[in-house]
Amino acid sequence: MTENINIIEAKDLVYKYSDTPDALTGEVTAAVDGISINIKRGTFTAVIGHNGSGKSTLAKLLSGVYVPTDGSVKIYRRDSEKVLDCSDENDNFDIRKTVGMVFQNPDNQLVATIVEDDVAFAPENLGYEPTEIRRRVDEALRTVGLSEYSGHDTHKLSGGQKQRVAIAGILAMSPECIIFDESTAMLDPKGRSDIIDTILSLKASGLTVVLITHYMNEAALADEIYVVNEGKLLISGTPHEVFAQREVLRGAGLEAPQSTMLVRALSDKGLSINTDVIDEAGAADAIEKALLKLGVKKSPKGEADA
Amino acid sequence: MLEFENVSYVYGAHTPFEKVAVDNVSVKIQPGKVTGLIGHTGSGKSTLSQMMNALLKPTSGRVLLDGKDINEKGSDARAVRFRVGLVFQYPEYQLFEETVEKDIAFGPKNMGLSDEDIKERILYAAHFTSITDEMLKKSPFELSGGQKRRVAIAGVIAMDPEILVLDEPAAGLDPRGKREILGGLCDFRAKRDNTLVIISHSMEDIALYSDNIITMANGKILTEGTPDEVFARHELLKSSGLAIPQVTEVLAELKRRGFDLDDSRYTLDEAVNAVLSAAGKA
Repeated sequence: MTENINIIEAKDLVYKYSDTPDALTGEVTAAVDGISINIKRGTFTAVIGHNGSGKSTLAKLLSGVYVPTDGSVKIYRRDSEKVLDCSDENDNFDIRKTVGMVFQNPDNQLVATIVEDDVAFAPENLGYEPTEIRRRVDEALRTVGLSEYSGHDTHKLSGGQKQRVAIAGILAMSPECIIFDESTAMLDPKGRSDIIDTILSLKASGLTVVLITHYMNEAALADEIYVVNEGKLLISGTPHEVFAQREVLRGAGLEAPQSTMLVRALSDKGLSINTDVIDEAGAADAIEKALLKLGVKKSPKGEADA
Repeated sequence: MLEFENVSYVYGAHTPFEKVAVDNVSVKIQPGKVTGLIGHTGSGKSTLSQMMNALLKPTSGRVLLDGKDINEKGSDARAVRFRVGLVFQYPEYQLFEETVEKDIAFGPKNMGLSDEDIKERILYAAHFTSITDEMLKKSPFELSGGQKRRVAIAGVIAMDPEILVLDEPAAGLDPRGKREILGGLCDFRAKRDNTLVIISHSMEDIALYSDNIITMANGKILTEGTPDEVFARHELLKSSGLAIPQVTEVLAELKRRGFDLDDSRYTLDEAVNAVLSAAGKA
């Protein structure tokens, strides 16, 4: 059996929340309007778009939470020839086990009052032996770095910790893919960076990760970015490719990361500088090179450091 | 003017869970200005904000409004709350009326205003929050998250408070949504000449809009001053868990590498000028 390189293949997706035509236009608006997207196994994909662009609806379609109004979502598993179809109710159970989802609000996805009980919820329901449940819970909590919190009250955790418990609850099912639907949006900077670190380590361990976000610095870490606007796919590519398209991003109500905008603005002002930059370190490198080329001297201390 | 005088707040005092959330804070909120109150989760900023309109009473110390203790016996908490409006985090979860219009009207109605005045208040609150006439007739539950947020804020603007305090008004919104909300609030402040307090954990979001910034850590005031003064101490901010703007980070890194440039800049344009002026030193 040759393994499909894609884990999720979505074709011509359309999703309408209701059949009632809009009072003004007389048309039924589609939240997702003809999107085709393939998620490669083992990659980190970011989907970006402004509020109301349809990116969260897309996430729920890719994970089989919503059944598409039109089009199809197919899910390929690692150890099974059978292709799962998100439009087929009979596949629901297997889809949930294969593709997990973490939502935005840390306060409404935990079901138990104690951390380890919450993580055990899915493996218990899947009917595993108690020793196997124990093993899965311990491993999941270790992966998200919360082992020492296993006996804690869930409601006393910080937002970022709650989100990591939610992630552990999914890991305990041994999924092949996790979709994060703006899971960092309600967190503070520390909580956000903890979740991003967890996402990167999950990807490193071979899991497929999809992150829905409007933080460009998070998207900059992805292998591939899809930009969604008005329910349609606008552009896709590596972070470098996507952030280079500033007009397209602006049209979609988005902005490239500040670091990218900084080097672009410098280039616009006539400075000869590499503008293919997506993060702080890249911007510092590019500016350093440009300044040195102009003959700007660094202080001795700086040279000693370098 | 709103003023804190040696204010402390302790959660669960005399229990094993006792936690000092605000620790002997004395600070003045500048009237007629935009104040940014910044701190990471657990720094005490939300507790401090809830003492601004007597929702929480300090464990010790005094909160003064125009020199009068708002918590002293005989003080009219209701009158204080009409003067100091507080918008909680994620206010969109607090909408409850049938239509957006009715939801915005709820506060002014409770203030006992005439129907005509209420109508006027709704219109100007809608103006500052970019709420269209069409949206006014809709149910709040038909709106997107960002739109609901604007409706909740409009409900407080309609009460025309002298001091408007907002806890994370831009959290979870995309760049355009942030600009719409924060820009609208600043327009409202300028028009009515009242006082705005914006609470956030993101420097990047509110540096642009604030006249004055107060940063908190561990229940205490860390720094206070104009954005320029506060950003000049970005190392301190970073060490207390606050995120600093990417451009400031880039400038600081260049300075560490030995370039002579001003690393206290926090907006894109200023950062561009800082680099260009360093380039001019060639």
